[in-house]
Amino acid sequence: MLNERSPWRQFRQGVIAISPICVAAVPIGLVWGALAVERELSLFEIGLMSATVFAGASQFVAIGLWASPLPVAAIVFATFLVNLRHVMMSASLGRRMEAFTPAQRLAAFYGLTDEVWALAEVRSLKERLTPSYYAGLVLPLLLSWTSSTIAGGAFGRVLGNPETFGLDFVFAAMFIGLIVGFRRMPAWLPVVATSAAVSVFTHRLLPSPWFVIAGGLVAVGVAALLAPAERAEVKEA
Amino acid sequence: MELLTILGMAVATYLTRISGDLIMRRRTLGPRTAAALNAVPPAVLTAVIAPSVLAAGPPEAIAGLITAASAFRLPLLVTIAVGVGSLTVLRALF
Repeated sequence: MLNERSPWRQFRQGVIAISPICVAAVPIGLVWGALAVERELSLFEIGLMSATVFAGASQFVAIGLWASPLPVAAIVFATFLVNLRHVMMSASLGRRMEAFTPAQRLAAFYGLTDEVWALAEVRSLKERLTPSYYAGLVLPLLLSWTSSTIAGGAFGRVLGNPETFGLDFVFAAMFIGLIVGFRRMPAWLPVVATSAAVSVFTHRLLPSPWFVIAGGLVAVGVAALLAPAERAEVKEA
Repeated sequence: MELLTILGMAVATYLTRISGDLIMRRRTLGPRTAAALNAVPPAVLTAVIAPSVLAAGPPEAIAGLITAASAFRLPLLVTIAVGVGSLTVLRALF
């Protein structure tokens, strides 16, 4: 039982949880690296961006805007918009980090990708989220993402389309599995249905990042409205 | 300029990742705020994938429903395999 709580064991459990995502990130990283090289980023710049920004969606948007002369402000602002969803994730997950020191928190939020966040939230439903488990989620994905984007830059477009093997669906399938995993939450069905409807609707009307923000915010608002105002919260420990 | 852009992107991303926690830290949460925060995971996860599953075409939508159905019964890794497998088959059919 003591062994259950050892940091090394926690770390390994994190690595196991993130491993399918690390595999699925490889073809996407290869494609992004190939696109980045076409826009004349060097391998050093590719690796540096993947390691420091570490956010696939905004990196694709940035490469789409990459031109000469470089529109620095537009790219930085687009990055901020695409990543605005992380504000909600960080507000929610911060409450599950009681076991983290302040320095560990600052470091942990650097690695807060969608997938890391989702797996960390799920973990915190079952047991206390530890820095070791969280590091086990972040480090393999950071390694997989950074190295596959550099490889994509080095080997270019020899590799074909990730859609061929349905690999592009790994993220969607994992997210669906995680969403279903939250089904015992109060007002789960109205929240999920609202989010899906608003997201699909906004996706038709507005450019890319807004559907996530609109769907998330409206659905969170629905949860607040449906909450019984007088009773204490259900899930807070 | 390239390095400056990358640095700006890194800072902008980190700001979005830390700010939710900084805003919420040390606040006593009312029941509505707590309910709203508790709903963030399913709400945002759904918003991220809904267009690419529901509005991308029949294979993705059907594979999404199969994936959701299996998620009620099966472990996550098996669910992912079912989702990817069913989409591969459906794309071949459509």
